[in-house]
Amino acid sequence: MPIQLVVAQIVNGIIVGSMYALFASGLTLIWGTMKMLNFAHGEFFMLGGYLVFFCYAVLGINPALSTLIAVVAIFLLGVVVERVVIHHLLSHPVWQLTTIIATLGVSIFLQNLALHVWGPEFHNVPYFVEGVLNLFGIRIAYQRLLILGVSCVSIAALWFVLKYTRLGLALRATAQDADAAQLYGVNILSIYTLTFGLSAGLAALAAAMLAPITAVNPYMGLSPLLKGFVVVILGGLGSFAGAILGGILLGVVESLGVLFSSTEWSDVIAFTFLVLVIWVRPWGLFGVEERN
Amino acid sequence: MPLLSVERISSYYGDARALVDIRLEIEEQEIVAVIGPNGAGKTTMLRTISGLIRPRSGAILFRGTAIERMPAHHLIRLGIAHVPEGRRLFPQMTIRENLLMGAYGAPSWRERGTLIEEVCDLFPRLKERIGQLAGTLSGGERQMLATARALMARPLLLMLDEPSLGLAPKVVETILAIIQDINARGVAVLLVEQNAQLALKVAARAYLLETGVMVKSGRTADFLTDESVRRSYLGV
Amino acid sequence: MNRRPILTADKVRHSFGGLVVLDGVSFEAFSGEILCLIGPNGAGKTTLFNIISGALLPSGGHIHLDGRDITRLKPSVRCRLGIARSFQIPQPFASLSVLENVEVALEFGQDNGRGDSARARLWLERAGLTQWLDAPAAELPLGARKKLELVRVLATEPRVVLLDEVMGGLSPEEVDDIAAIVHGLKAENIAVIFVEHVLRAVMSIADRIIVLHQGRLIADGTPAAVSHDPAVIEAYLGGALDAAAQR
Repeated sequence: MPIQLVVAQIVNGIIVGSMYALFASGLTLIWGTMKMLNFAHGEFFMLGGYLVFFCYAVLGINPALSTLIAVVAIFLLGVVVERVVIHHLLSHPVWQLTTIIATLGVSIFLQNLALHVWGPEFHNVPYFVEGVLNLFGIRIAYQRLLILGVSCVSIAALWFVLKYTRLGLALRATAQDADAAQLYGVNILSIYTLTFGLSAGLAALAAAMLAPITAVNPYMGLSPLLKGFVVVILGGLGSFAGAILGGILLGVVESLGVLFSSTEWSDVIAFTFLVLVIWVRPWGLFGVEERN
Repeated sequence: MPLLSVERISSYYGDARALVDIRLEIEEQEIVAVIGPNGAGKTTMLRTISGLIRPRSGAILFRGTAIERMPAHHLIRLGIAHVPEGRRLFPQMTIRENLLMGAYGAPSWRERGTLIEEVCDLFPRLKERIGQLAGTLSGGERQMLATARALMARPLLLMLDEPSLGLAPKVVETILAIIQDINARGVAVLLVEQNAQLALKVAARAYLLETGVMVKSGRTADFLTDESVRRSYLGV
Repeated sequence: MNRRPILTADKVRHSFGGLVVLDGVSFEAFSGEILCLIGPNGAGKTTLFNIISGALLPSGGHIHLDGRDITRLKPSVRCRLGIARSFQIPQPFASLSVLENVEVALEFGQDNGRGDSARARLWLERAGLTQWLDAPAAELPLGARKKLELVRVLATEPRVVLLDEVMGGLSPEEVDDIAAIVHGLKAENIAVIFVEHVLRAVMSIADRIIVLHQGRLIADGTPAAVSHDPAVIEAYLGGALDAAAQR
């Protein structure tokens, strides 16, 4: 096996993994702040993909602007979903269950909406940048480098916001102790709405980057959602760093796995990896150990 | 006009009555204690005042403004800081970040830099460990941090829920001294404590709460020899 | 009074990891006596209770029932030997009727259980639950549920009854009702050991009180004696109040 092939796959794995990371960080953000699981996350991804397809491939708007439109629109969609569907459930008993059911409902609704509006066909989105980089005999498409660049910048931006801004302080405070956060002036209901919208926006961004590589269709959110939950659990529920590392790890493991078997096995490999990690560290790589 | 006036407040946990017709007043710069046995409703009372629990009936006035229906996150702006039972620090934030959170919702956010300096002068132990995660501090340090965090909001009224809980006597003495110091600087203090002796050492006036009912109120001197405190705690 | 105790705790110790929760607690309980176990939060009352009932194995020390060492016996075995306990949050068999709940206790709780309906009805009548006989247990309000819990315990015809905060969350009238039922057990020569927070009720029916504080027994005596004991006052109130005058 030529070493270049392995390296190429690792690079690919990191790139795809960084998108998993972006997607998963949205999920982990919601879990961390609201302690709920969002089963509609894949559909925010899917609709982001469709919006980029529509703006760029159909309307011819330049890719950067198309991406921006998609992210902002899905952010707003996230805000609306939170306010309309989730908001009042949170103050009622068994909200951990009712929110899962509600987001599943949103997911089904959005999938069928896309099916109805755009039909079941797969749509292709052209690459934002053409061309291939040749580095030490390894060929990497510029599109993929773009993906890597965007993910690095967004993850860094998220990190910066969480660590160094007043908003980030409020987000972290809500995640760590919602009561105390309220006592010191945090409007946690607004934080919940913002977190949900932000998470949706992140999913849309991931979709915008991946759309040229994978095709756009109403069910494109299903596989990422599954992998997203794998990443979140792998990295430790609620840990932002865990989601990033977990995403990249999953990407690399998958890519290398495909080298030695075939694409159909990629999911099996991913889940086997997850099981092994959880066996050894049930709380995930960066999760907080729960002691009863 | 008193700084804080609690008028005939009743609070419930579901169908169970936690507070019945509670009345309480605090004047500016007073230290008032609320004592009572375990389960009396002391914490419920503080949580009702700070807006985490909505009362079923009654009113709470702060400097003349009705606050009983205000959302909890508005009160810090008005000048009420609550140090909750168990301290409730942000465990994965540093001491510095916890202090910043104290000023988050208050007008004092603007001067947060200088405030951190000031507050650390009061609590030198915190200054030494300013970059340390709050979850790794000792019990006494946590109580200091929780109190310092509240001070960052420059409150007019400081409400403390069982600050002595789980602390060694030496540490408790320190905390008490700090409370008196804070009060001397113009902050009114509402001290909720199960430890009656401790609370009565610093407070000018006190209230005795038993199973959700105020059974006694008055100047501290009235409590020191009265059998009613002992009877409330021990039943006979 | 030269009675032999029916139950003794002998230097019971327990630690959770490095934390010592009980530090050599010893006491005796006698038939026909109501003994109450009190103490501030974290004193170790629940741990001691669980050790006596068999839900927890102690790190050290022994429990004897009528001279027999039962320290390591399972709760079901202890029940057959005559120790029965109640649970703080009553969880009756929800789909069974009140009467059926008691019949289960009669059937399984005794050595020669006969599931005797007549006895079950008698106990329920004594507890004032006759109107609820055929109602599903899930429909009972809290006070009635606590009484049912008590009846289920008593239906196993124990020699020693362990009650765990049986008065929590009840109205004053309901507390009095339960107190009356418990008081009635003295006449049956049952030994009652009660953990309770509602001290006013405790003080009115207990014959003897033992006070735990930070894992140690700090007082053992009549309600009047215990409530004036300076060590107990210090444990609950933080100290003698007139000492607060020195400021």
